Amino acid sequence: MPHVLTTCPYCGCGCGLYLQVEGRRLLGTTASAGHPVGQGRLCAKGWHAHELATSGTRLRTPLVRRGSSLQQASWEEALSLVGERLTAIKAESGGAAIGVLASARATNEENYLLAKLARSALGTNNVDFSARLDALPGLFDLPKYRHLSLCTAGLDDIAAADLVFLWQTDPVEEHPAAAARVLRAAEAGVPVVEVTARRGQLGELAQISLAPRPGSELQLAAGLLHVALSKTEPAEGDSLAATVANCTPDQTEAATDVPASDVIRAGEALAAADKPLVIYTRGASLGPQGADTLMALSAFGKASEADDSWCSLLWLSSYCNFQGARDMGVLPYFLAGYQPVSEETTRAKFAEAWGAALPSEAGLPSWEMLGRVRALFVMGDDPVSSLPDVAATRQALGNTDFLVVQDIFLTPTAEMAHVVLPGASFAEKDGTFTNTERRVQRVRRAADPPGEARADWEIICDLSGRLGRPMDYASPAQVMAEIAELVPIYSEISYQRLDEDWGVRWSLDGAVSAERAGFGGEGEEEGPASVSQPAAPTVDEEYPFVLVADHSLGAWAADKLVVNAVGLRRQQGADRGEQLPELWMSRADCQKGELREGTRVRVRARTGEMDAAVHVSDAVHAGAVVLSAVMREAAASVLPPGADSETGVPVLRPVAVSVEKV
Amino acid sequence: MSQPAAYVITRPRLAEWVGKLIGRAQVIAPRRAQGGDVAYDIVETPDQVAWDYSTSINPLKRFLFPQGDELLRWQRAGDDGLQLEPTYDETDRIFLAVRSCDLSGVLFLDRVFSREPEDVYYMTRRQHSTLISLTCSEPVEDCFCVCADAGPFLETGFDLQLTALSDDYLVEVGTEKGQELINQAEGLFAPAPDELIQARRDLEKEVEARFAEHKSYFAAALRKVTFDRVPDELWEEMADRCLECGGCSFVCPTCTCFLTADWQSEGEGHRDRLWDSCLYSCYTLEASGHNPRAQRRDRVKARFFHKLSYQFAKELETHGCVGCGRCIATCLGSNDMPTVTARIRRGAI
Repeated sequence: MPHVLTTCPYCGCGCGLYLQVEGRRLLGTTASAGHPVGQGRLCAKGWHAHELATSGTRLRTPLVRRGSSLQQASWEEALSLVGERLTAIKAESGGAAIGVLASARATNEENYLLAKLARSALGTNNVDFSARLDALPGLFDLPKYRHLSLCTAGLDDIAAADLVFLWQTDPVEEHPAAAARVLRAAEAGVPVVEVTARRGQLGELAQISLAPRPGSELQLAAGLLHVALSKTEPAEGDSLAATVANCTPDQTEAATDVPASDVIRAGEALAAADKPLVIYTRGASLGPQGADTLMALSAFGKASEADDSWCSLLWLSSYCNFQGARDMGVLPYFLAGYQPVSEETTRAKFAEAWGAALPSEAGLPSWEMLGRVRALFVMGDDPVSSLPDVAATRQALGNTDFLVVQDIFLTPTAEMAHVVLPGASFAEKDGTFTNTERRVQRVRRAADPPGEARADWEIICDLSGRLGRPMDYASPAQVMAEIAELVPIYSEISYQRLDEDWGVRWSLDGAVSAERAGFGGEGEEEGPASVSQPAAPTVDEEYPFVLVADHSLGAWAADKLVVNAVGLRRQQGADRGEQLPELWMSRADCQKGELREGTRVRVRARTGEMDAAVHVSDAVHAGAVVLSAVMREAAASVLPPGADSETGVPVLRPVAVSVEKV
Repeated sequence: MSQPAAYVITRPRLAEWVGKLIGRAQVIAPRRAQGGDVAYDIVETPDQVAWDYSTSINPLKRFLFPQGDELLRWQRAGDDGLQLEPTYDETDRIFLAVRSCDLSGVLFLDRVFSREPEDVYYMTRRQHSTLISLTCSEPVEDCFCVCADAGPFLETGFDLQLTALSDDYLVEVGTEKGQELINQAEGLFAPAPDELIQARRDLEKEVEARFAEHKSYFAAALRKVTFDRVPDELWEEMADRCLECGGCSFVCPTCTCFLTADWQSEGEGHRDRLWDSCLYSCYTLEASGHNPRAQRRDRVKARFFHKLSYQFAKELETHGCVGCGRCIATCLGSNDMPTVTARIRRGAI
């Protein structure tokens, strides 16, 4: 069939698209009219999806490091080297000395197989993916938070909602399929409340725009809960009302700079809503107090008129198979389907199916793995681009005895590897992606991989054999059949069923109870246990601005799947070459400081300084200055990477800075 | 010998004829893809033609002006420099059962690409194309060809035009190329009796009446856009509703913008042209870094100026819309043609 139906490889929405093929050549991309996610629409990335496959910069042969350079090698040479080195390191230092990073962009089948290889052949639970920072990783350690990193609502709930919060996210930049739905809802009169330091395009259509001082989002959420809960009779023993009892509108204004009148307006809208929906992304979870902020947001449903069947949390992932990678057990403490590695019965079940004993110790998350393992096998992940502390990541990778990277482009991580294995793009292999709303969808082969590149599942099978654990699969369909046997949440999934429909959403039994009580729920507490002081930095005369790292700004323009797609690269403005980091600043502040578009400025914080070029913006609120999070390497001295106090997850905190003309 | 004005072919014979066409050329026809969407696509057997379709998700330009098209290859030739080889596509293609709006779109592309200097890549493909249209007897929710004078029946432009009448298809001949196809079909076609020709005329009237609901107000929009009487605030509001996906340009049968990109590896390389969209922020970015349409408002305005101003309509004989309605289905925001013309007419959102 010359039009091959497949799933978009960019964000977590998972729109359906057709690849237009002539012979084995990819000619273009068309939106699928009937697809339930895209509904006939695609964003710019989707319309250019074929370009990443046809890119002239694809890896075409294996590469092996000889001296300081990576040189072409045969598959036999590359794979036997990988097999020998991994076997030797395991024999010398044990499986725990080896780490495996799989991918939010590889298929479910590939993630499953690599996790299987790690546990059964390498004997390690050091299995993770660095892009997991897209959500709030580490929370899987804390049962009360688990539901926050699963999307309980669905994209279509945007159309059903009667109040939409855009919480520290700009869906036009991050999730256009969601943005299209929010835009339609706003046009139909549904109130939209935008909460952000940098107003997005949909902010123009929002009825209420709240600009909390960066770092005070938790206090704003608590203030809204206070107003909403004061409209209803508190139930007996309601801990939530007690938690936010002191978060009055005046207190909230003092903590966040959001006028008390706006807090009351938005809080009353929440109280009156039957179907409130909070859309959030990494902008909220990776902020300071991210975990508690999300806990507060998860109580919004309860503070409204919503009944028990309504899910009010819509978490959107930035990667096409972020959900699937986790579902497949690419986690240090879970086997596929969130089955704990610590449970003996679970291990026994997998050990029997896989024919190998499995390690029982939980592994390390990606950000702890680096620097502590001797060997690292990376498939389709790019920790240098994903982890907040770029310098530390590079240093740790540089100290790794043996680094293997399997990818389709020479990523910054691959540049440091000892062996690089060329994989296949989404257009060149069969498999499945699971979108942000848990919809498992087919990925279909439309063309051949370039040069000697091979489908990633084939590479894993080959390597597993060399590690003494032969894998014998004829196709990804067979892998999925095995997954369905072992993973209860995927027990309904088969290629036949997926081919008959647009995909299947695996069910979160009792989604609302999961949302309110925690996934896997054991009647967990609701809302934050307490509302702490804002994490917003103190500004003073010396450091009068708050600098915030914006995770949606410019993120796509720096993404390897965009940079290597020639037309898309230009569309995203990634063609402009090396430039100073852009510092977004309000028009009022620019006028005060006599700064114009492009003015070179020095940004000083207590920890260091950097230079940037001013971008005069009507979207940034006075007092805040915004830098794209992709610039964090250049900004490391002023935006030092820190860790969330509760979860230990690396985050970028807002800091007080001064901005002066150079 | 004078040729009959029209022919008739029975449904079983139609399939036989399509089989013969498939043996002779690449036949592109509406075909149901996985999932049920209908796309113009290469058909390998007659039963793959979705005769009962309403619209296709893609316009024909995907085959005449592909989204990614190689223009030339080069190779290092000894020490004497480069050997260049243009890559023209001379595949014989028969476009079968295409809707009138889509055929009108091809005629529009013909006028764009045949202007001097002629676009040799497009024109080569066109010279090897035959256009067989299928008239519409059922209006589709989103389309408005009657407002664009691009259907549901055509007077000219087709090589052959098919109309489904109860048991048979009436076949009108538009060109010698079309007549040739009939002549080659050896007895599959019979001259159409007068009553069948009359039945087709009656059907056209009846169908046009059903299509008559006015969906896109081109005349008023043309006037206001031409004389720049659309307030900036309105363009601004429309800009708020454009998410810069470029989808409208890509599904539009009349959009033709492209950029070129070069690839090279050791000793060889190729130049491709790729579809572009005037709504992309870097569409007019200049090498100096200056961007004359840096604001989205200016890009939205430029797009609809190009589609709706008299200056362009005069040069290309009609405004740049054939009423296929694909932009309605594909716009991430709400800047499809009927909505935009309605806003321009009303002067407000």
